[in-house]
Amino acid sequence: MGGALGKLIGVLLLLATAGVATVQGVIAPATPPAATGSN
Amino acid sequence: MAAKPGSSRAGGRVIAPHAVLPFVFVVPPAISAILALAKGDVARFGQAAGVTALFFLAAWLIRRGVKAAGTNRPFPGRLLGGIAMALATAGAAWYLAGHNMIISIIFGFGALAGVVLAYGSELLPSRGEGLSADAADARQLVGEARVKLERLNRARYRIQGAPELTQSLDGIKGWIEKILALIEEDPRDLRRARKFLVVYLDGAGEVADKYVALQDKGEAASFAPRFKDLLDEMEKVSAEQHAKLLENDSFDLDVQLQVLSERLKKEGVA
Repeated sequence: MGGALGKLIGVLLLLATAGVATVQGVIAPATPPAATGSN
Repeated sequence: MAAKPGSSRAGGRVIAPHAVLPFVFVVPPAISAILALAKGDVARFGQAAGVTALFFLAAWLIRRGVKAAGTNRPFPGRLLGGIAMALATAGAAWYLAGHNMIISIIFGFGALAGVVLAYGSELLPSRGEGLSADAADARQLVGEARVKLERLNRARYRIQGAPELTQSLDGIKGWIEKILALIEEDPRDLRRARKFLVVYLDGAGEVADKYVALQDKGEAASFAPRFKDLLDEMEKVSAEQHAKLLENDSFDLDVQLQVLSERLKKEGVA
């Protein structure tokens, strides 16, 4: 059953990374990354 | 005999659901690209379109890799797809979400780890993939057998006015289905069942086709008893093959198969 648990963790990890980054991309204001740190 | 969990049969092929999730990640950056285009932000549109394309490439590669796993056609799709997924995720975090470089790289590594855990990698084949040669062979033979079974089925429904023949054909079909299910459960059975499937499925198909041809010419009646005998014998041996597979005993059956092959040849159907 380690395989099934590994798959589940993998899917959750994908959702937490690719899913979060892409959704944040939709809702984030359109500021270029170079602007990060500027006030 | 139930099908394996997670698989279903359609059109004589064994189909498993393959890597749908990565395609979902194509949607948000595509929306970002559309929004950027609507706002007239060309730079962001380019970034979002690039990330979208990279996610699509990653999803396509992973899907191909998952399909190729356990076949005789190795393709490092999951490995390449994982790398593409990492780049796409880091790109989305950096360009679209506006994270700094360190965080974006962490996002990328997280996505790569996610792909490896969820779908495996050609560099780290799972225990199940070690059996791939047998399993792939079995899958191919079972697929071919199902196509032949379909042919037998078509011929069976064209036979008219000979219920005893159609009954025998149904019996043979039933046993062959059970044997195919055994092979799907344990591909090692294939070695012992291959000869049977080749001789019998082809033989039964030929018998049925020949009968239908004779029926069309109006000459079937005189041949019906001989065909019935042949089909009865095939049904009997099919049942025995099934039992032998369950008992893991193949020696006796080889002799019987030899006898039946000769008989099929004599009847002019093999």
